[in-house]
Amino acid sequence: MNYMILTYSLYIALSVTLTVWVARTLHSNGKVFLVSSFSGNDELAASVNHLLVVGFYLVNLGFVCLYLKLGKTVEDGREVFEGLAGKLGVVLLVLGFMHFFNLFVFNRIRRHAEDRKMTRPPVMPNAMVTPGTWANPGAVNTLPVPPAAGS
Amino acid sequence: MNVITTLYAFYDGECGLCATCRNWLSHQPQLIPVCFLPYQSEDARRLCPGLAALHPEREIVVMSNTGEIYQGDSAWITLLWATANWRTAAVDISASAIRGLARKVVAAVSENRLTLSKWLRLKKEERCAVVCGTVQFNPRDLL
Repeated sequence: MNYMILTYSLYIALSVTLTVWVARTLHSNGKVFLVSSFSGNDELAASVNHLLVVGFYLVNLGFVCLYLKLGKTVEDGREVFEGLAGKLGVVLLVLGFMHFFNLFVFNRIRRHAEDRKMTRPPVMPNAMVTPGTWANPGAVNTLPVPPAAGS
Repeated sequence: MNVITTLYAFYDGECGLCATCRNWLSHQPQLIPVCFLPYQSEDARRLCPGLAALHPEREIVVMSNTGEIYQGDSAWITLLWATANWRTAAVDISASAIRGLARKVVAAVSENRLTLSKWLRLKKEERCAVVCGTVQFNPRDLL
């Protein structure tokens, strides 16, 4: 029984430590990414960063809790390590997956912001012409003239 | 070079599929406003001199206010690029190996658009009006 308690205690302690470490890494390094994506809007960047990290904590701690139960009884020191390694291995893989997913989200946000700054389409024109005017000059003002971007 | 502020898309007013695409595109939030004109219309001929020489009946033609002409898959990429939600996708397509596939798909769909419209029972519009998109506010603009 003592070995069982030891395994579970070590599992919880190590998983929570790992989660906190990865979340803090994300938090501190994601900040730079987000500040540049939000073109210097520090407050918004900090807010999004915090929200992402909270989600990260919830998913990971939730998984760690659900995955706690060992299928068999631990009877000696060897089984403590074996049981622990199996559990922690999966927790690490889940953490890694979540971490890469977060990077993907950060990068998506950054790409979205970068693409907004484009002034020309990403393809070359097939030809050039001199644009004409509307067919009915009298109707030009009544035609739905699109507003300028950003207005 | 001049700044692109408006795009004009010359589509086939006789085709149901094109009308459906135009409806979908004109309801997307746009970063650059797009005006949709049937290539058969007088407005289209006046706005884009030499439109007939580009054979808009073969593949869709997009003209910018600066006079650049994009046709076929380039036109589609340009139209997606003008929308807020699909710009990143348009950039991805333009820069990747999918571009070749996109070219083939656009050409094939374009060639068979009337047949496809019949199969999908898409009706052409009764009256071909000039539709200009507007720039709408979208919460995603903040991202």
